[in-house]
Amino acid sequence: MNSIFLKNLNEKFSIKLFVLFAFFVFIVFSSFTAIFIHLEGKSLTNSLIRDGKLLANILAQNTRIGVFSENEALLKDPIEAIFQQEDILDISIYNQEGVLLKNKIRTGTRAPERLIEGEKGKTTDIFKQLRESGATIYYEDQGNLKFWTPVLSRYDNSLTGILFSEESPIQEKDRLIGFVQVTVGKDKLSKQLNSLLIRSIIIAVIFFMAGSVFIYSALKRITRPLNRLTVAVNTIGAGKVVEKVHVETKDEIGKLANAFNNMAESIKWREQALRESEVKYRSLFEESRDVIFIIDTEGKFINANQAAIELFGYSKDEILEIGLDDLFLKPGEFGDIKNHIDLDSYVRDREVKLKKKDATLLHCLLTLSARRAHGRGILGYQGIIRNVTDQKALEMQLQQAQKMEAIGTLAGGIAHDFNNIIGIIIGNTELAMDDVPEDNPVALNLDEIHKACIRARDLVRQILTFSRQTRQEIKPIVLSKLIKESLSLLRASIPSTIKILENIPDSNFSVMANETQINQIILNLCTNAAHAMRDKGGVLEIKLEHIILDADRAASYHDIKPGGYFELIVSDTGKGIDHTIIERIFDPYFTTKEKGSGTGMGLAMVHGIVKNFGGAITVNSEPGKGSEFHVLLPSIGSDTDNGMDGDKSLPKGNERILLVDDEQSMVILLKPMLERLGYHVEARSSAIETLEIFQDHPDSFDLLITDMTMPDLTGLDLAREVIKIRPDTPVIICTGYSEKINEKKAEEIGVSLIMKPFVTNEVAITIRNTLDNKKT
Amino acid sequence: MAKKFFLIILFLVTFPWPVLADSEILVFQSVRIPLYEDALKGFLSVSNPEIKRLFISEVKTSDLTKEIKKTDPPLILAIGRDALLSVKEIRNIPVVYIMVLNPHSILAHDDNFYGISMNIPPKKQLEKFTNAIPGLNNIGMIYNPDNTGELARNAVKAAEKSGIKLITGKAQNAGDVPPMIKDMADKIEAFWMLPDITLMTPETIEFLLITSMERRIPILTFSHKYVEIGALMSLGVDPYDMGRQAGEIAQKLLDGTAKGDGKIIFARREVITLNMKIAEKLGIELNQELNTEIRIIK
Repeated sequence: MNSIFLKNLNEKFSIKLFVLFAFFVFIVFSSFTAIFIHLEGKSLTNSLIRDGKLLANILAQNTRIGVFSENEALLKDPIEAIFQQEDILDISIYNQEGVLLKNKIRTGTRAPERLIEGEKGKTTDIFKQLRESGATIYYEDQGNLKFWTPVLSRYDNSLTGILFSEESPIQEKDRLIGFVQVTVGKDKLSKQLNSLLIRSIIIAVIFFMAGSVFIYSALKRITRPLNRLTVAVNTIGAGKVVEKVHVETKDEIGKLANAFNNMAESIKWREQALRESEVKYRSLFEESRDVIFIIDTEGKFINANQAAIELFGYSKDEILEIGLDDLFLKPGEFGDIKNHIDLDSYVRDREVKLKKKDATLLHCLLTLSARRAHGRGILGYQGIIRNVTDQKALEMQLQQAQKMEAIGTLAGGIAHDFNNIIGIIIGNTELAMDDVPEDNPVALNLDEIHKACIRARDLVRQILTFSRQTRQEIKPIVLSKLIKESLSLLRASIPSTIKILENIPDSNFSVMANETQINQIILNLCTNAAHAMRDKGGVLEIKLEHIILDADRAASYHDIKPGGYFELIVSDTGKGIDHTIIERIFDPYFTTKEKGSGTGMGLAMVHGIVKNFGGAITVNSEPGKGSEFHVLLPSIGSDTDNGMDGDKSLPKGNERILLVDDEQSMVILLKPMLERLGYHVEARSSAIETLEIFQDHPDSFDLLITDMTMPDLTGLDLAREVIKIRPDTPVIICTGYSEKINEKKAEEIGVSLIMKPFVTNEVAITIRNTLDNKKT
Repeated sequence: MAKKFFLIILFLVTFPWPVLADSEILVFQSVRIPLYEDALKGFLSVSNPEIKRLFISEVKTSDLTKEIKKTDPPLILAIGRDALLSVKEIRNIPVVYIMVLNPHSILAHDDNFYGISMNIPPKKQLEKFTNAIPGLNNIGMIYNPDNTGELARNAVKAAEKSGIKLITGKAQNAGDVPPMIKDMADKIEAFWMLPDITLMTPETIEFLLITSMERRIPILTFSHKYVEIGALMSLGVDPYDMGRQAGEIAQKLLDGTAKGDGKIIFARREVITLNMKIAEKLGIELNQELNTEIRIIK
């Protein structure tokens, strides 16, 4: 029982307060009761004394005549009146000599003072004292109070003064005529005090009990919300959701409850925000494409996200078994990074080379910072790894592109002149061929010169195309013919240890493609095959088949439609392609060649060209045995190519042509070429001069043929001016290389284009088509 | 012996007893006090008549009237002022009254009223006072002109003849008395209390006694009762003797021999009462050679 109370006292604030308050109330009520009883007792005693004095004085006053006349009958009534007071035990009246005149004793009390032996001395002293002082005296005798008052005959009588004055000294003319003695019992006082004591104690106990009950109730009421708060705090502490604590009052407790509710609400929101944040950051962590990880001081992984698993090829468990240092291509790099962090607290976007589980190299940016605990140094590190391998490749691609752009710029710069030169050679050769009989041995030489010039022209075009400096003209191409021509060009660059097998049947089916790009496909695939066999030699086989792709087979490819296709197969017997990299061989800048040997752009370019033409490319390879590339290009039916070996009868005409080229040699070449086709030619080497002629004679010419690049006025501007003068004037612009004109632009302003260098039939066809189109 | 006894019986039976003995005298008494009892004893001592006593303080006035009609008494004795007041309207029955001060103030007519005055002639009183207290020169007196005006005038005349200065005060009621006493306290050597119930109420008497005690002024009064409670001396009547006087008048009235007698006669016997303790306390030496019956209170 006692221990339970002590336990509650220690643990319950309300019990402590209750005990404290109860003790305080007990002390207060006890003190109050004691003081009250003391004061009240004193007051009652004083009251008794005051009453005793007053009664004695009244008696003395009322018995004056009786004492004076010493008449007992006169003394009787005043005595009886005073004797009405219950606590009056006896009354005695004496004359001035101290002789008892009358006395009355309450039954059961002892005899009054009398002038008898033994007591005489005492009363004598009292009488003496009364005579001297004239004031009432009292003393306690055997538990009672005795009051003695002189009976005075006052010359200056004043009842009130005599009765109520504490001191009533005898005046000069006053006479003492007797004495009265009143004995007042203290039994009543004692009873009153006892009654008062009992009542006070009862009241104190009642108040104490009531106070205790009230305090206990009040404390329970005060601590009840506190207890609820405690429960709520514990609930929050346990991580559970807590409902709002009911606010009962507006006092400090109520404010505390309100504050708690606000805090709980805030915690709730914070927890929710924390959860959302945790989810967000967890999501960020897990879904980040960058590797996010935490490692200990030794670099061992503590945690890593999904990106790490995907990037490095390890499972989650495997990652947690290795360390960051295991991923570095360069051993010990982690130590360098740690040293750096010790100095600068972190490393940011440090370029590092990491290796995957399969040893594939990765170019990455590493950001790593220390995890520090307050006052406990470094706990570990946290970091982000960004795979920039692709960016690195793009960067290299950009560099290559810039290199190509530079080459293209260079090539474009010389192509114009080169084209002019080739054009002059072709033109003059053609002129010479016209003049030399076919059976003349020179004619054969001229024909070879002509063929070589055509190849040279195509080579220039290829260079320009490769450097994206020329338009990609897509037109029906007889694939078998083009492949054969490309192979004939390639043959010289392939080592003799490699045997080339061609299996290219003639076919009238064509593909919609660009010749140059088809050449690039052949060039790249064959070059790669040759490279694969450069050490040991082998067989390079090129096959072309026309196949019909049904829906099922088309579905096995990605994004191609069923139909007729040419299948170009380039196979080699080289070292083959490792399975681990076979999926990446079409990635830009992916290369297995030594640095400087390849750009990594070849297969990517092939892939892009094929996809652009609506085809597909696949590869079968077996390491050590060789590779086989299959290129599918959609066929479009019969050949529509109107190339050099086309119709030998050139379209001719007799219209009047105004010709201008700032290259005088071109003027010299073109003028007779056009005249041989039957046209009347007015040739100039100045654009300004040409414009002036046209202005003067706008109706004298049926066609304007102008070079594009001229010093004073470009071919485009000249064409605009001419069309302004006579809008129906047909115009052909000859251009070798220019960014300022293309077919679309030419079509917009209503002119035709012909690319340098050109052969006679191209010129004849273009002129005839332009003139005929205008007429219609 | 038997013959003597027979003769006595015969005498008693044949003796012509007065009418008084035939019917009861109705005695109206104000209160039952010794003074009145003494007076009644004196009355009865004359002829020992049959009486019926009624106390005024104990019965209603209507009952008194009924009783008178019922008994039809030959004579009524009124003892005390209140008793006289209750029968003052009686006409056809002779009324003898005693122990009434100043009956004139009560009676409008006196055809059938006979009484013994309690008053002693002022001259006689003054003579006795001055004899008892030698050197007495200034005496105070308060009177109501309606009651004791004649007495006061006679007193003044007597004082003037005796060379005594009688300082008087007229009061209409008891309330006027204390201030008058206060005023004259320093001027007088003794106070002469007159039998005037309109002025001498218990309160004024108490005040007078206190003043006497405090200012050393002896009180000269008409009743020994006041002497017993603090007055110095009284010159009063003897109630017993006064009763006897009334009995004698009653006898004459019943006998029909009272014609020609005065309606009011003075008491024939005076009594001086001296309180020696008071004299001692007041420091007065009394002359006790006064040729009158003296009663001493020690």
